[in-house]
Amino acid sequence: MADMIFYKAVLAAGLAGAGCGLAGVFIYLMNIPFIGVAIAHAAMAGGIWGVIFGFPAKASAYAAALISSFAIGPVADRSKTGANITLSIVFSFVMGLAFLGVGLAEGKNQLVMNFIWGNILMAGWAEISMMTAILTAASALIAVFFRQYSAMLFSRELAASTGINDKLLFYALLALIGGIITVNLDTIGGLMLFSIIITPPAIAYQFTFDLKKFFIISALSGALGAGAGVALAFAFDLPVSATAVIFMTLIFFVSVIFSPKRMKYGA
Amino acid sequence: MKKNPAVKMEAVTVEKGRKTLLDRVSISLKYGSFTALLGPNGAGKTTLIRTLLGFNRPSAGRVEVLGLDVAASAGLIRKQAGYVPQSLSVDRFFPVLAGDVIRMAAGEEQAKRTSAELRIENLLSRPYGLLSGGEKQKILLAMALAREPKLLLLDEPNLNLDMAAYRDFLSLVDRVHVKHKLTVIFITHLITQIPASCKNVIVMKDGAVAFETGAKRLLKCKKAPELIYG
Repeated sequence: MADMIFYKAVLAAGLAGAGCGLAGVFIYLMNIPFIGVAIAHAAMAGGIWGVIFGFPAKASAYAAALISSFAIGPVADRSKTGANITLSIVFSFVMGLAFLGVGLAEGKNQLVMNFIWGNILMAGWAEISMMTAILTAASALIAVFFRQYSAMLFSRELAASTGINDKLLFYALLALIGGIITVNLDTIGGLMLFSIIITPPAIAYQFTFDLKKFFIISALSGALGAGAGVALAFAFDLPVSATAVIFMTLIFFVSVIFSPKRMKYGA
Repeated sequence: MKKNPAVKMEAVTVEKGRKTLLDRVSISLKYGSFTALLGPNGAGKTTLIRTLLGFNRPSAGRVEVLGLDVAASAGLIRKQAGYVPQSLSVDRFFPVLAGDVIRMAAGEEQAKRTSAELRIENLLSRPYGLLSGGEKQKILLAMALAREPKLLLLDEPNLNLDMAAYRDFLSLVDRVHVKHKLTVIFITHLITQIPASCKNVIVMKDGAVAFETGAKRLLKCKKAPELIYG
């Protein structure tokens, strides 16, 4: 029984890490880190308020993630510094909503806490199936539209000038990021999710100039980092999500020190 | 040579808030022509190009590109136009190879053919962010040409290039213009940087067309700098 919990937790962490690693590539290369954290906290607020009003928590979280994705999409469209400041204000607002919900959710604390800290030990086959489905959907979207997404990551303006419908693809991407965040929310936790989104692409950045390999390294480092982090937490009886995040951050520091790109071309 | 113009603007006005970016601009450019858009910074040159691609919606007037109405067919026009921006700087470690940049716009075969034509095969496996300014512009030109466009729009592609790199780039543009009979619009703010193949110059000032003339005539005119920048 304990073995099964362990295997399922490691598998769930690996899938979450891979999914977040893929989503993170866009967030990292488009330089919109706050979009990830804003959607994560909107989903968290949606889930918490869903619990308070007696709605299905996952559905409420996804609805909130979707609404926030489409609301902040036009802001992120303008991208870079100005957008990040606006997104950080949106993030503060949804975080306020989430913690207001925490204060009001008397008697439903465990459900609410799962959205904040996660509970990977409770990951069942239903959660693992959903994580697999969203990871497959994300991989398929990226594979089918790889040329278009590459162009958008390189330059939205240039992509649009070649006739690529960049707005439609960007909004599809936001919906997918919202989906990835929501599916992983109550297993990984809203607070830890951001680290698992942003660290894997930062690791991949140290290793390759090839965008295809970048996606693969980011997904793999997310999967291995999160999975191994959970395994370490089990081995040393440590808090799971925190250990996974710290372990992944350590991988990042090691990758910076031994970065082949930095060694060859300088910092 | 087709009878209808490749680019036609009729009394086009583009506004942003209270500011008029283009003021009743009318131009007509033949298929296969090479036109320089000349004028000081803020004259409306880039706005004009962006309007041709449908990025700016005119508040008045009509724009036709390659026989299509921009208001209705911007997507189709963009697929038949090649665009080279002023410069596109990404982080030097950005994960994209120069060859991948060209392949973003076209298939493998087209990308290979264009790279061979521009003689830039040696750059393809190098990271885009680590190329020199001139090399980057050649890659962006290849990206624009790989789709075999009918119209090529160059928005001050010389902005960050030294003279040698600029001459090298210009000779490429001249070559592809002659070989493919492309319609080319080339933006520059310096009269001395008008390419050799360019026959026609449109001078812009304060969002309007100040005058249109032949390139040779303008270059011979001693009062040209005063007329353009004065």
